[in-house]
Amino acid sequence: MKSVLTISEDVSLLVRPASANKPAVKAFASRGLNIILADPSGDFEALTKALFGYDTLISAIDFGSQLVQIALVDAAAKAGIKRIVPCGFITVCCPSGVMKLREDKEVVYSRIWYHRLPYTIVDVGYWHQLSFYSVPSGKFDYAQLSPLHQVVGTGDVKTLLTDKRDIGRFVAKIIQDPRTLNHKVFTWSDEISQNEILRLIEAKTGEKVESKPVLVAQFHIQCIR
Amino acid sequence: MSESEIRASLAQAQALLNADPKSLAGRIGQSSNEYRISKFIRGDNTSENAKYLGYLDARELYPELKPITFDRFLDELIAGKARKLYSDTSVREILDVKKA
Repeated sequence: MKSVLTISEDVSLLVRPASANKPAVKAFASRGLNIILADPSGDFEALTKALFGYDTLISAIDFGSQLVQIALVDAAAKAGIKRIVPCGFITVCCPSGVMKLREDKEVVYSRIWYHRLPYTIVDVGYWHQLSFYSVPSGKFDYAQLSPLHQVVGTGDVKTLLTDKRDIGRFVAKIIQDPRTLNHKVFTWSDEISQNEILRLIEAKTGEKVESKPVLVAQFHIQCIR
Repeated sequence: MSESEIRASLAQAQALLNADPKSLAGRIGQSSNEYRISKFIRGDNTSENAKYLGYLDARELYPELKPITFDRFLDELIAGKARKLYSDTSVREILDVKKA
């Protein structure tokens, strides 16, 4: 958001009414940012009216609400949005057959193409903030959303990573750039394997990461606690 | 964690979703295991695959943008300067909105 504000003064936040009282929304409002309350699942005309006059629409909706964007795309097309950035921001993958989350997003992309609405899809790989292992001393626990111990598969397959804080910096560039119109773009800082991450952590901390399996039931509890 | 273990976890998540399509545990289990398969077994999340799928590379478009490397992030983490994700919100909050 900070990066986007550096390229335009006319930035508003489209927020679902259910989220109006969230601390993050209030923080933006107190900084003088225009908050527009509109529900993509609600009144279509009101949603369309809310979008009139804007050039670019960026969607960053939660992972369980992807299909809510279909109405948003319809409204964006009707309002004459000049570039929509739908909620991509995940790992690179083929459209279907591997990830349900990707399949939901692709349904939204199909709706964009149905309207021939100008677009840019941005994928960011995985985040640094979710890609570091727990160390025995516990010194990383303060920053960890849930403990990470297990190496998946051989550990040698490389994967793209972007620091979460860089997403906005990249997006601010991408949405001003005619070269990215009607294209998919991927951002990254590293293409790195799990074993390379383990070696880096061990070299920097002197601690040996203990790889152990995590039961899926435990994982769920960690995530929703 | 082997591919068969991941497939078993994924099946558990799918069972939760079959019982309750809105099960958050089921959705997170499905999503996390599908990420594991895609990233670490199939190797989908690579620059080579991105280019095959028609993506432009933001690093080639904006060589002047120096992204925060994972190495630098680790240094911040070791220095105690990293921040926990969603520290101003929570998955619980998303869950409450869904119920409303």
